[in-house]
Amino acid sequence: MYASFKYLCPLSLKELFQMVDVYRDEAMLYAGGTDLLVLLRAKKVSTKYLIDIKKIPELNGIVETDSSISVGSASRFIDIHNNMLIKKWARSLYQASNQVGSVQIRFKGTLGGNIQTASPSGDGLNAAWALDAQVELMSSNGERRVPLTEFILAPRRTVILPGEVISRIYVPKRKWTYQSFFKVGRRNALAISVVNGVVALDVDDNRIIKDARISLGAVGPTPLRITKAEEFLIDKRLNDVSLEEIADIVQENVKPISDIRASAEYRSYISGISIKKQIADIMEG
Amino acid sequence: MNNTRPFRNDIMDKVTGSAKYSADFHMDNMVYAKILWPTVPKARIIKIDTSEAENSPGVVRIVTRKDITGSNVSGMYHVQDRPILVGEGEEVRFLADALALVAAKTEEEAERACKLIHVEYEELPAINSVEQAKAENQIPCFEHSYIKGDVEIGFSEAAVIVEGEYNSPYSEHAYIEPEGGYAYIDNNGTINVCYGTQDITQNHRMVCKALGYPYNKVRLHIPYVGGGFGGKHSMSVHVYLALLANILQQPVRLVWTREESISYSCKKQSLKTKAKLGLDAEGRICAFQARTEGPAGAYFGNYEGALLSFLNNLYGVYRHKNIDVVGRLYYTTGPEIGSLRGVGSPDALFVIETLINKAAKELGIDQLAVRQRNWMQTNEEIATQYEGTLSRNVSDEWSISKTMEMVVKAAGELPKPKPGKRIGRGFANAMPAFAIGNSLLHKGSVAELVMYFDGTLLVRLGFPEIGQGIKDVARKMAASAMNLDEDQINVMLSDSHLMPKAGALGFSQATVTAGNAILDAAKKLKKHLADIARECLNSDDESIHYKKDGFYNKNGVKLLEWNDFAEFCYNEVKSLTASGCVVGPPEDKGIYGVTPISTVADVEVDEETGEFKILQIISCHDIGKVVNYQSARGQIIGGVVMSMGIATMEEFVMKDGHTLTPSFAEYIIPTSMDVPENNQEIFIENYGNGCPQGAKGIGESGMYVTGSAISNAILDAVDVSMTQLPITPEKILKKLNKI
Amino acid sequence: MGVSFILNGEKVTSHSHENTTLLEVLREEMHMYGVKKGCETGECGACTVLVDGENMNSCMMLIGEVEGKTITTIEGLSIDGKLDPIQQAFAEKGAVQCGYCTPGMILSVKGLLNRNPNPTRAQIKEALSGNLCRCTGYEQIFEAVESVVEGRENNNNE
Repeated sequence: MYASFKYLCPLSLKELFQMVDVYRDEAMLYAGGTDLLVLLRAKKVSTKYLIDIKKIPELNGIVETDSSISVGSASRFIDIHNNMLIKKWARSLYQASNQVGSVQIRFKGTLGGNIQTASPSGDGLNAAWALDAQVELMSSNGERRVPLTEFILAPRRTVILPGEVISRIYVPKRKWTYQSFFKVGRRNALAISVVNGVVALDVDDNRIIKDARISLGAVGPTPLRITKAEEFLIDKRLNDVSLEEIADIVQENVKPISDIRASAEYRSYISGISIKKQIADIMEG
Repeated sequence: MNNTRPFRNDIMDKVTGSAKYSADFHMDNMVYAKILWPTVPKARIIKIDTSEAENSPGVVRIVTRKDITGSNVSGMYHVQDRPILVGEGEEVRFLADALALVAAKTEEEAERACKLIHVEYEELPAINSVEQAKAENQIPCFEHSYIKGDVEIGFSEAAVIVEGEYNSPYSEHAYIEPEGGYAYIDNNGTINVCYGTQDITQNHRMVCKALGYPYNKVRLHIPYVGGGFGGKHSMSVHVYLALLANILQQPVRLVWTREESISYSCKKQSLKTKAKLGLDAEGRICAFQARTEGPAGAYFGNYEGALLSFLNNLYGVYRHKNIDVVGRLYYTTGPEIGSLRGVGSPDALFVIETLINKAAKELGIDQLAVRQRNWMQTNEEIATQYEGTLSRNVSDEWSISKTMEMVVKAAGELPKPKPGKRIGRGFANAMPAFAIGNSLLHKGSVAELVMYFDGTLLVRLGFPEIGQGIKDVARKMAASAMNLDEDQINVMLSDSHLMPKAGALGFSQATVTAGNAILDAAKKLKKHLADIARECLNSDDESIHYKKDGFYNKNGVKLLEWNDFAEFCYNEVKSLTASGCVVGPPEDKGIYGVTPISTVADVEVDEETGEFKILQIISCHDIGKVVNYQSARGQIIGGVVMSMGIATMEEFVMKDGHTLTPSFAEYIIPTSMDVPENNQEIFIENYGNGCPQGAKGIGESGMYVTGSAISNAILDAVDVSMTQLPITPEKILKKLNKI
Repeated sequence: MGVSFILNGEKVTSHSHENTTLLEVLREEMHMYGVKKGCETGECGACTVLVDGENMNSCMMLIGEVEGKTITTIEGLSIDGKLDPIQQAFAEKGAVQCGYCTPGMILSVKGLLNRNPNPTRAQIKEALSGNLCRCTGYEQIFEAVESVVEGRENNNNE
């Protein structure tokens, strides 16, 4: 069914880098495969070597560091959702991980893959984006970190360099007072998001909003933080926020396209309404 | 032999994974075939160059038009106008006009070789919409109308007139098993084709005529079939398999991918309707006018039947005075129009059932009251019937009102909406037809009964089992007619060599047609057995009759033990078979019974997001007799969810002759998380005269008014009439002027 | 060389080309035709098998990925000819019509009950949301799962 490729399964970073340095652009990295296998089968992409990174220890596991939760790029959505650290420190990602595709997809798809695919509607991607995640890239030359918001340029285009692999995703250990992920799809499961997003608020004891993240997916070429909406919220008392105004600001600051799933007008409108509803829910406590 | 299995045989096979479907067969020396589809939807083929492909690794043979010596035409039912393969100098009229077949040692090699076949096209102007067809002054390829009374006068009497513009797009059957099959030559030199289908008899004739093969040397039979819903009548793999097997003289498998299945199989028709309804001051319909048009595709398919079926239900269950309804179809470069469970009737009912609610609301009367005032009564004719046919209530009682009573009661109190949401309740009803007797596609389906010397019985039917439970119905009816236990009955289906003739499986008539045929055969068999018994006893006592364990006279005295009778038959070489078939009188072109249905839906709507949630759907069906409650319930619930999908999320989209929705990522159907919270069905049983043991057809029943009830509930909740399918949050927001 | 794994309790070795999906290997090399092909894009769940107890789409796995793993297909569910309670419940509760989605559906139920032996109706719906069924409307499938859960509870209470 697929174009002929050789399947390689390195057991260490060293092995991986050896392969990558030799095969260069004749090789593709393979994690969950839930996007890549579909593309390969449709002959939309082809490759000579498929390098399965799932057995590399450094790319697995979810651990706590002083300042962040470090998620291995090969972590499956099911493992992310079931992880106590994620539930505690990255509730949006916890929620998003349980809404990707279906159970079977969640047993296979990875956060690293979702980020590499860089589709603006990616659920895991959008949650991580809103939470100021950093992407760690490793190569035989060393490692570097890039904010996720700078890692992705456009659908399917990232700043990853030849020879690099996404090794870990760092989600800052930030105790947002409130955060939640939402997804609008055309059905309740196995749905590519029409619009998705995150609202995260840091609210002090006097109910003043000290910081905010308003982030939306599928309404632009990459996930979008609506900084105008965030600025609108900061320094306001939570319960004094004008829900109508926040909806309008969001609606005016997204740049969706029309496609087979939804029109641009609907996406703009529902972005505003969805953020409004998330905040309204938060207000009600 | 294990005869203590508690379930239908097929159920055991299915839960253990031993049931074999069309792609599950493997034979030594088997080759794998793929079809080369055109890339230009409307074109003349200048050249098909297979030379590079022939040298591709693994390729065994490439088959083109030149290899076909028969008529090269196929069709869905009785009209054959579609080419099997399109050759050089011939025209491709839509993307499913296949150009070549590649047989190779593996499927992958066959696919690779397909890509190496170079085709030169002379692109021709395509017709991609009805608007374009009309702009180019095309005349409709099919038109039908019903005109009764005078709608101008009718509308002048109206207290309220409402209009609506309706759109029901193409829909895809989306059976989970795509089309596929395999073929081989058996020890008799017969070409065997085993594939998933709903129609052996017609397909057999078509294959043999198209390829020029003798009927008795081609055998079509079926494995387990993974759903049909009306989509597996038409040309798919069988004719190609027969052709390949004959040329290659070795086993060959041909299976469609999901993308091929969605892109190239037939579709439920796409229709736009402008309708107008008038109610007088008492809420009675005084006039109804509708103009419907749609694309016909490039070939006959079933576009006539589909439009007729649509028009047949466009006025629903109401007493008529003034009707003016016209439907027109235009040739386009698009999908073949097939039958999809309900065959357009659900879309037609969507028009009348929602328009009447809109009118009632404007008049200020309740949706139940308006129906009560307009329901047909027992002997009235359905307004917009198929020409020359008779669609009628087959029960003594008129039960549409009873079905509505039952759902009203079961629906209970409308729940209070949560803050920020609205809840509405919508009703809808229908009396869709199922075939009895002389319907065009089903007349003369035969059942054969074979009794063995141990008293067990074999039922042979032409109909296929596609999951609807016909085997079980056949077993039950045969058991009850012959007074045997169910486990003494075996049922075999669907084989052009071994099983008798059957019509197309569809139109909710398998139970009726097969059932009647079985009962007829049973009657004949019992008489035949009794005749032999008389011979054996050397008696002319006409009262001697068959019972399971022997033969009795009118006084209940047992005159002959079964075992002695069997011994006699064995020695005298008696054949214990009978054949049954029920046709109506010759002057009836088609007889249809109706299954009265009422449905209620409660829908919660969020006016801000446009999202809606179906809280409950309850439907009541008068199905005459419940043969197997679990199966009947399963059919209705399944039909309700399928039609809910068509009403709320499914849309097969064409652009310039290509589809934009070729996979399950774009053509989405309901998942387990999309079902209504409560999906309930109630059956009432008013004996159907002329139906076997009173049982009416139910295969399509769940489909008919689900969408109507949902739209009516949304009207009730937020005061907008949703007329464009599928109903989506985006469309609701547009109607609410939010976007 | 090949890829070795446990299939329905037995060690097997696949010699298929490394670009072959697990689905293709199971069907065409191992002749487990109970594993169904519905879409090959992970959208329908008909090809669901258990991989180390987790229900996954076999069309979304390459053969190399299952080295050393334990795979269960529908053929491996009944033990010594005795139906698994899930199979029994599906048969009893009218959860099967055309049967094409059934093997994958049953294995997803198995996966669910492996993780959560006492699921609510909402959890059942979510767990099966990757298995499309066009025939049943799902209701009698939910009832079958609930009857298995009830049966277990009854067994536990005895």
